[in-house]
Amino acid sequence: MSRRVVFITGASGGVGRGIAESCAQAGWTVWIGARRTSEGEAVAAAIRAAGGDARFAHCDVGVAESVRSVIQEIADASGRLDGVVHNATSGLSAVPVEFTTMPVADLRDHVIVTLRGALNLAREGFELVRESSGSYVFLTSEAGFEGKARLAPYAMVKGAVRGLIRSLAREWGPSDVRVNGVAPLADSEAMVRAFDLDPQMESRVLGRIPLRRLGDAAADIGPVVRFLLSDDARFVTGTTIMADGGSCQIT
Amino acid sequence: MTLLIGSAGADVEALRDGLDASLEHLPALAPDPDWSWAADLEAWRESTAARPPVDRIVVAAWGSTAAEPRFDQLGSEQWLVDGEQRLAVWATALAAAVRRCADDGCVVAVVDRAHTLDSASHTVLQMVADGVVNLVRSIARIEGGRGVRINAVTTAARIALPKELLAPAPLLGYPGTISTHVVPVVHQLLAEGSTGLTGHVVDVDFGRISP
Repeated sequence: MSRRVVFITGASGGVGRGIAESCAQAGWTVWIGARRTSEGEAVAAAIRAAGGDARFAHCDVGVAESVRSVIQEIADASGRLDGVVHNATSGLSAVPVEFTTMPVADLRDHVIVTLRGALNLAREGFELVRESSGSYVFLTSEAGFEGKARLAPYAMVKGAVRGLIRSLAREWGPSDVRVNGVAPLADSEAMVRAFDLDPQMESRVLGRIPLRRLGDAAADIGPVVRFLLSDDARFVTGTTIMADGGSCQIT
Repeated sequence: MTLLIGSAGADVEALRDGLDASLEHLPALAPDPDWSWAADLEAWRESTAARPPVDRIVVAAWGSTAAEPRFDQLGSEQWLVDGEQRLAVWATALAAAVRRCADDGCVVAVVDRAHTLDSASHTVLQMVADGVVNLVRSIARIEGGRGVRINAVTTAARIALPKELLAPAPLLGYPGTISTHVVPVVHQLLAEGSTGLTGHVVDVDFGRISP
């Protein structure tokens, strides 16, 4: 069988990097998509140095032409695409806001990266993924289940992603394309930034996790995404796995 | 008196009549990928929030409920109007509503949402619905400190459903109507008997339970 090929957005660091490393450890070809070129190149180089097969492709997921170009590059170079992981989120994700007075333009950034990005990945990637009977994994969050007082726009789009996951599973199932979600709670750059911006947040977050720690992106989150992308999950679609140490009380 | 903030259309007028509410319309916006309408929406929010407080507000920022093409084949204008713009209108309408709401008052969002079994061909609508109900949960956390409650009611009453449902709802009459099945639930959530409820989503789904 040919080597499995996956494309991961927002993979220049944090959870995306962990997913990429985990998939590479399985012997898969990993395409690192990100806006940050030097960081993305560094992730790909680190994976290759560890014996894996990784390539970087500059990708602004909110821009259709950018996604189209990357998918074409993957088709030309790898000849197949078995999995797409949409992990990229707005740079505003961790920034606390007063929701009722926030600029509407700030909501736009969340929507463009997370949701227009999902549309672009669907439009440009679906046919190639369908040829492999592959799957999509969308990253959501416990914020998308229970809401957040200070991160309401982020929680809104992550809730919207849950709706996408369930509906797309029904739409694409007859084409043998699976769609699932993962809601991670990980020790990531975004989480560190959120803790910096809201000093009480760290104790709030850690206090509600039964396992008493944040997840490691490569060791705790990546394998869950890898499972959903793999043949072991070939009968799993439309679901979201919480990889959060038990934090979220709604599943 | 109850205030209804809603889109234009006969369905919203039926909701208004059932609630015996006064109706304030949301602004009409042209589609634009760059969100040039954001400033107009923000100006509307500010002017609405500045009006005299109201105890009970219902929001129905309804858009199209027609069947959609498969998500990967969706046209750009439909995405911009039914997806991005609808989310922004809902978010802005709810922000204006809770700011306008008096202390210890109540807001109810009435949201179009298909059951998961019927959600193929309604992917954008479901995306918006799940975003909105989760925003309601966030706002409940934000506004609870001044006694303001906010809940959501979801309904498939306006949605174009398949002629043959994959599985019938347990209760006869699915998906029901706004006047007969949704309005009484909204009344209940606005009433004194619901003062301990906030951040909840009530699916008027005739037992066809969605996750």
